[in-house]
Amino acid sequence: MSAYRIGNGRLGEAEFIFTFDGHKMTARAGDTVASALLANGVEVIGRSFKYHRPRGVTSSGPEETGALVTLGSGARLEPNVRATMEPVSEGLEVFSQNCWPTPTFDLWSVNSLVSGLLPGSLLSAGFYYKSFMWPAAFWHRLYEPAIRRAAGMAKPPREADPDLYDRINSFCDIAVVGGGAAGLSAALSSAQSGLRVILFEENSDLGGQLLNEPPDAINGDLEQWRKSAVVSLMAAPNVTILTRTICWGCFDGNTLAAHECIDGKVRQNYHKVHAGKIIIAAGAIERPMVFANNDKPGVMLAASARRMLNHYGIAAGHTLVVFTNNNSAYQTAFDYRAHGISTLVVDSRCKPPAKLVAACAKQGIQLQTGGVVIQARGWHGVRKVVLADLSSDGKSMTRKRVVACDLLAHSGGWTPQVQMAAHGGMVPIYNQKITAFLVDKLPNDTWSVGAAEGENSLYAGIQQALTAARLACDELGQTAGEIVLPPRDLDGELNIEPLWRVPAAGKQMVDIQHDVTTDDIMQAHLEGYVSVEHLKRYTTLGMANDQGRTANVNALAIMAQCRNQTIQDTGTTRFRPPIAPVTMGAFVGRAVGEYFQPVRRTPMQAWHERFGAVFVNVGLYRRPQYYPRVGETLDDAYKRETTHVRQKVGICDITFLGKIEVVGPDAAVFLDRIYINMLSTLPVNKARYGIMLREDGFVYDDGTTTRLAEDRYFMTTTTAKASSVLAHLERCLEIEWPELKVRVSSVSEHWAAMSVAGPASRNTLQNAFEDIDFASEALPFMGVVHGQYKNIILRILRISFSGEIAYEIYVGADHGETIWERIMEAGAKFNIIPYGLESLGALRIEKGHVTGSELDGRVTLGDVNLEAMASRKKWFVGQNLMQRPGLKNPNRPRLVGLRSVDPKVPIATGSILVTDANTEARANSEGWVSSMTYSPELDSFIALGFLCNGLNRYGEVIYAAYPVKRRIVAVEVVSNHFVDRQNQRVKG
Amino acid sequence: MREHTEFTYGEDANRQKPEIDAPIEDWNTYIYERDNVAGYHMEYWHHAFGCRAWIKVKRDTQTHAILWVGLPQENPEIAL
Ligand SMILES: [Zn+2]
Repeated sequence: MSAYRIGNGRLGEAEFIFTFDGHKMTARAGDTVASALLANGVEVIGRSFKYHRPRGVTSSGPEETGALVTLGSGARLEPNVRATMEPVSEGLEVFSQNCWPTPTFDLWSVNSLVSGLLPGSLLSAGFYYKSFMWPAAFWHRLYEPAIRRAAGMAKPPREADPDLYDRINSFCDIAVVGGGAAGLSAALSSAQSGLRVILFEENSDLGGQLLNEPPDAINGDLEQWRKSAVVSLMAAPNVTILTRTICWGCFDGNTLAAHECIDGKVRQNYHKVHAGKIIIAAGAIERPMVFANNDKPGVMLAASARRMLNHYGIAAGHTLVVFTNNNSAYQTAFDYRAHGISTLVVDSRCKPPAKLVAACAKQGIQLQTGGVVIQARGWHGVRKVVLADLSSDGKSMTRKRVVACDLLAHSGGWTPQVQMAAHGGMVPIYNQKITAFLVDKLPNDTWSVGAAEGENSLYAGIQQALTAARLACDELGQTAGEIVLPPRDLDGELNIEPLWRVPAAGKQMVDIQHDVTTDDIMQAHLEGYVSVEHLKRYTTLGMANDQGRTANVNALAIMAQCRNQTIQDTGTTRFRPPIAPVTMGAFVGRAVGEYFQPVRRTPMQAWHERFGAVFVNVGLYRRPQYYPRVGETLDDAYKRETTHVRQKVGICDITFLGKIEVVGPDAAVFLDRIYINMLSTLPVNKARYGIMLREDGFVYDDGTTTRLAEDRYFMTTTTAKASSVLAHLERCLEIEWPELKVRVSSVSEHWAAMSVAGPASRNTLQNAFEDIDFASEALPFMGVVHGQYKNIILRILRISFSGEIAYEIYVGADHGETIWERIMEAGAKFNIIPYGLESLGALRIEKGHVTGSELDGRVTLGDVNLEAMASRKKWFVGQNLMQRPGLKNPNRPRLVGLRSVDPKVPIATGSILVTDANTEARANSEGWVSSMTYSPELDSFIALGFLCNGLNRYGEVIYAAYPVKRRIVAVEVVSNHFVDRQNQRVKG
Repeated sequence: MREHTEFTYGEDANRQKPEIDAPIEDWNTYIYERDNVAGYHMEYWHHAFGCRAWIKVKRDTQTHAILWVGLPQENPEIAL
């Protein structure tokens, strides 16, 4: 094909410059990248996905299968853009893709020649699946690198996307999806009711197939109607028109998702549209004919070739052959012929309608009925086609001959765009008359009209639209208005006689963009693929960015022929959103970088930052991991901090803990049911460690609960479970025991919390808060005291996570930093330091306390050696199923300590515990390692883990295997209480 | 009318909790056995990003249409 500008179409006359692979080219306002490239005579635009076949423009719309380009460069590079959908702007950089060194001379096209020779036919159907069955060494070294380089789309940008995207919640009474004649009519009529209407159109221009009609003064009567419809809608204050906006999904509650391209300060918008009623006028997509080399540049869908001519003023070739099985493509022949272009129509039907035959004769168009195009020929584009006569049974061909042409416009029928209608889960049904699928039972509040409903005639489609608008407005209590009809009808009768494929050999593309051929489908059939869902995945049909819009029906029909069944029985794959590519940035909106998610800060965050803490993300919190001194690594710092706490004193921010107040006359009864141990016997101003189970008997969470008054408890939870424990308590109160007079409330944000631990912690606090008595008699282990510092109320719990004497100080969030600084100041003479999460972990592992690493939802009380804590005097959540025989099995892995036999060798968390170093670890697992640290106290790496029959195996040497990294470490089984087994220090 | 994203699915509301001293088999049934209903289903939802109430909802699992909403102890007056 060598296309050229032949007129103005609907474009402006002013020209500007853009580049294609660095070459300067001219375009006009209103051109798409595709039309501009055609106008500049560009034939080959890129190379195909698998076989690197030359590809050019195949359509003029969203169904484009050939002209994929890369736009821009650097961080703004955008790959795989459909050239038919992208307006050209001045200075736009357009690049060909998937070819090297140039689209016309591409070295990778060797793929095309070797396919079929290599084992399993290198890139034929199922190549991914079969490739994995080749010897593994071959795969890594040979096949994978080759396939990766050769098959694939363009390269993505390397840099972060610098553009802005917005997410918008939009609301309307009536959403009209599609701005063709039917959509415009539905919107015009609905708008007169005064209801809020949003009209979505994927293209830049409204009009749909009306844009294929000539706009000139002589034949432009329909253009006048289109223009005045657009003007009326733009003038209506209650109508929002969104062009370049694809509605890509329809969800529950009449919610639509739409993606709008703006290319302004904000590049794209993601609209979540809440609609009262939905009118789908999404139109239909023309199908290709399936013959050999139907993907060659110069082979174009017939209506698209017509739009190029009438809308963009581009003749897509000098000599035209039209190949069709229905009436619609004749319009393309008529219009090209009217521009003096030599035209031959090859119609596979033996008897096309007489009026079309007569019109051809009148216009000097050659007509070949009962004929087919077997093959397109030409190196980079079509130069010749091979024709033949089709036998009356459609199975054989005679009288083959070659005809010269550089444009082959084809039409295999029309496929209504039913995706949106089908998203509600409705199953499309095959319709014999229109030879395509339709959704016959639409969801409530939804109508489908016009070509999307299989109605191709202009007036009939508009009548459907008006009926839908009237019903939609009625149901909303308003009245739709009358509209002026177009001056004449367009007959949409297709008289289609399906020819699903030309019965001849050669590369017949079904899914052109993904290089899926009829041979691939037949191969999948021969290999036993029966379900269309499997066919799709095995051949990758319909999985490119056009989502198989042109391919779907042809593929199903060919599958049905192979299986000798009807198309309805073959069925269609399920339509899932999105129906078109959506930029990731549009989903993300402004939530990038530091705005990705909110950051939770503790009241002491600024202090940590000033003190040079290194942070680690824990949920939404950024917790201080360690406070490095000059030159220290993480390892240096946490070992120093851990040692310091054991020897002197340290302070740690523990605001991250979940905090819940439980209040009411039945609070004690309630907590007795929630926890395995008794909380009702807890005296006021005492704290108690508690464990709760899930209903299934596994450990749920642990923490400390303090009794503040007879009817008031203060509960802490682990950081990770804070919100789910609150929901659990609320559930129990509202669903299980509504009779209990108890209220629960999260106070996590209200209290700053810090732990002061170490032998000098008492002296530090006594020095900081002179009015409070910290002596053991006044504040014993597990005791609680309330006090003040300069009118700031303090709640101090003497509890320990590290095994040293320790206190938790709770203070109103506003005063957190004041109190922290006061403790640092008062502790200076005792050498107080802040310590982070890493040494908090080291201290608790040394002490053998469990956290989320151990309480992972799969362990029982017995597994963590805490079954004795469960009260026998009461019922509690989880009590029944914790008694299951399986959970009582004495051979279950139990919590143990592990110590490296060579103290300098770390034990990887997640290792598998085995008795014999020479066995295959996974098959002989006797347990696992849940957490590990270096212990300064023991001068050795230590770990916590779960080991079968572990309590009876102290002293045994076993192995911690880490097969992923082929590491195996000898470890001695010991008690999980590495430090101070008698628990004397905390009571000092 | 509230956004559905404020709510979190809780559990099947048809389950009958056994007596505390019921046999373990009954508890096993209560915890592990569910009907996977295609159609209307009574369930508990939590207004987690709202007033934090637990509510009972009769919902069509195929269309997500909601037929009835009440407090946990309430039931529809007529058989729906
Ligand atoms: Zn609520």
